[in-house]
Amino acid sequence: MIGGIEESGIFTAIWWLIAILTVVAALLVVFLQDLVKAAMALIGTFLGIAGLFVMLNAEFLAVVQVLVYAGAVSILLIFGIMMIRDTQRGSQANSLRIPAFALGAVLVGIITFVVLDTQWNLLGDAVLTPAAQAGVEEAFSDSPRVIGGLLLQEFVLPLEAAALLLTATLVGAIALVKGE
Amino acid sequence: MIGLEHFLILSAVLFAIGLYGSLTRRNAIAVLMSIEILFNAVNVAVVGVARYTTPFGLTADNVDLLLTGQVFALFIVTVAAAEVALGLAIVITMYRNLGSVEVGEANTMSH
Repeated sequence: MIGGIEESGIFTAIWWLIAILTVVAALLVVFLQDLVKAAMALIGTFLGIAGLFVMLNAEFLAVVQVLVYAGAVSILLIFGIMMIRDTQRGSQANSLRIPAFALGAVLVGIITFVVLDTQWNLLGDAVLTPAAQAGVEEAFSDSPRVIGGLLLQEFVLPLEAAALLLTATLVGAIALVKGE
Repeated sequence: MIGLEHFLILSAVLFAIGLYGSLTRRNAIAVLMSIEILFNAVNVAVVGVARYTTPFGLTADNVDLLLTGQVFALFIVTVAAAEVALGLAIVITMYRNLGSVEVGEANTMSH
C-alpha cells in the first residue's frame, strides 16, 4: 500500500537475495575459526540488515545502521581482535554444540508457528479515512522528521537516559582499560 | 509477495544463529559478535512490525505513532553500541589479568 512496489516480482527477488546473503554472512560469523574473517562477515550481516531496513521503508534507520554498526561497532571489534594476541589460533566451539543447535531449532520452530498462527492487525487491511491514509504515506516517506518529533516529545525521557548511558559507558570503558 | 511473516521468520532465523554462536563460542570477542547478531535480529522484527501492522483507532492526528517501532530500534542501536564498547573494555581487562580471552577461564571476579 505504501508505494505499491511490494507487489512486484523484483521486490520479492531482491528480498530473497538480501535474506540469503544476510543469513550466510551470519553463519560465517558463527562458524569461521579466524576472528578477523568472522568480523568481515559480521560487516556483511550489518549491511544486509541495512538493506532489509530500506525494504521496510526505514531509510533513516538504514543510514544509522551503516554508520553505527558497519562503521563504528565493527571497527571497534576489529581493534579489539588486534589488541589480543591469540586470535590466530582461532575460536573453537565448546561442548554445548548439540544442545545449542537444538535450542535454536526449537526457537525457530516455535516462532514460525506463532507468527503464522497470529491474526495480525495489518496496515494494509485497516479501514482508514483518506486523511489518515495520506498521513501514513507522509509519515513513512518523511521518517526522519517524524522520528525526531517522537524523540523530543513522547520519548524525551528515554532520549536523556540514553545520553546518560553513553556517558557512563564512556567513563566506565576508560576506567576499566586504564588500569591502576 | 513479501509480507510481515517473511521478515519475522528471517529475524527468528538470525536470532537462532546468534544464540547458537553466543552459546558455543569460546572466544569472548566471538561471543560479543554473536550478541550483535542477536540485537540486529530483534531490530528487524521490531521495524517489520512497525511497518506492517497498525494500532486500533489510527486517525490522521496520531499517525506519527506508526514509527514508534523505528524509535525503539534506534534505542536498541544505542544500547548495543554502549554494550560492545563496555564489553570490549572488559575483554581487554580480562586478557591483561588472565592472559586469555576464553570465556571458560573467567571463573573468578578478582585477580
